[in-house]
Amino acid sequence: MDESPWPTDWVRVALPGVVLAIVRDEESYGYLIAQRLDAAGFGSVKGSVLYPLLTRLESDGALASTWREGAGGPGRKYYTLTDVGQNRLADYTAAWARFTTSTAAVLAPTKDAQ
Amino acid sequence: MTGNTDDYVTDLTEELSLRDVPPEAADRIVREVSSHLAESGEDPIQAFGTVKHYADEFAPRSWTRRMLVPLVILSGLLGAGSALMLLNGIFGFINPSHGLWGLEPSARVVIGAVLFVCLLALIAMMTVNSRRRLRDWKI
Repeated sequence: MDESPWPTDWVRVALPGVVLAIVRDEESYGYLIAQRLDAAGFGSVKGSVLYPLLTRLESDGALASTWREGAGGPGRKYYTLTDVGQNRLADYTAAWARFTTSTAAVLAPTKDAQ
Repeated sequence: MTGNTDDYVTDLTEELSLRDVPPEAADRIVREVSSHLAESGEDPIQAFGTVKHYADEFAPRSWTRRMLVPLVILSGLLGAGSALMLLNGIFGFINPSHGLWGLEPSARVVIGAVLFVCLLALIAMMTVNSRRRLRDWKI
């Protein structure tokens, strides 16, 4: 992952939920998801990180996929969100909100420190 | 480090096959790599890392794969050793003057047979391990 303004560990933790959200918004293939991540400020996520993640999400039943042949190219594997994926994304979104709220509360300076 | 896309795809296919990834699953992995590289124009090693590293993401090397060279050497030694002892034992029965390290012909045959059984057991263990990995593999 290059040129990301965020620490690599943060991006790795956020990636499963963010990828599910990208696929929820639009039926997507790997390279398009990488572009969406880059545009969203996650930097250039390498294929060695993205595709194994997509495979795990598909293996878990959160994503479904279909191959579409390309004109003269190797084709594209399009991903869609399944019901399992919808539920996982909802859980992830709620948990992430709680986590960031808790983290922000701890990180905020206390009155004594001010 | 950079690499050629065709070479990378070929090497990845072979590496996944060596790791007992079913052909259809390996084909899906490789096609997705090809698709990404065709669209992005990226260097395969820059994008996906080395073939072994990328294959690790889907199918970590089994102990048989990690120990392949020692296992091949061991198999060769067991095969050659069993053949030597068995043949020497048989020739020893035919011609009692035909000796080897002062061992009786019957002892040579027994040692050869034991080495041969060890070789068969090793091959069987590797085959079972390979089939189990193939059966349990899933995407």
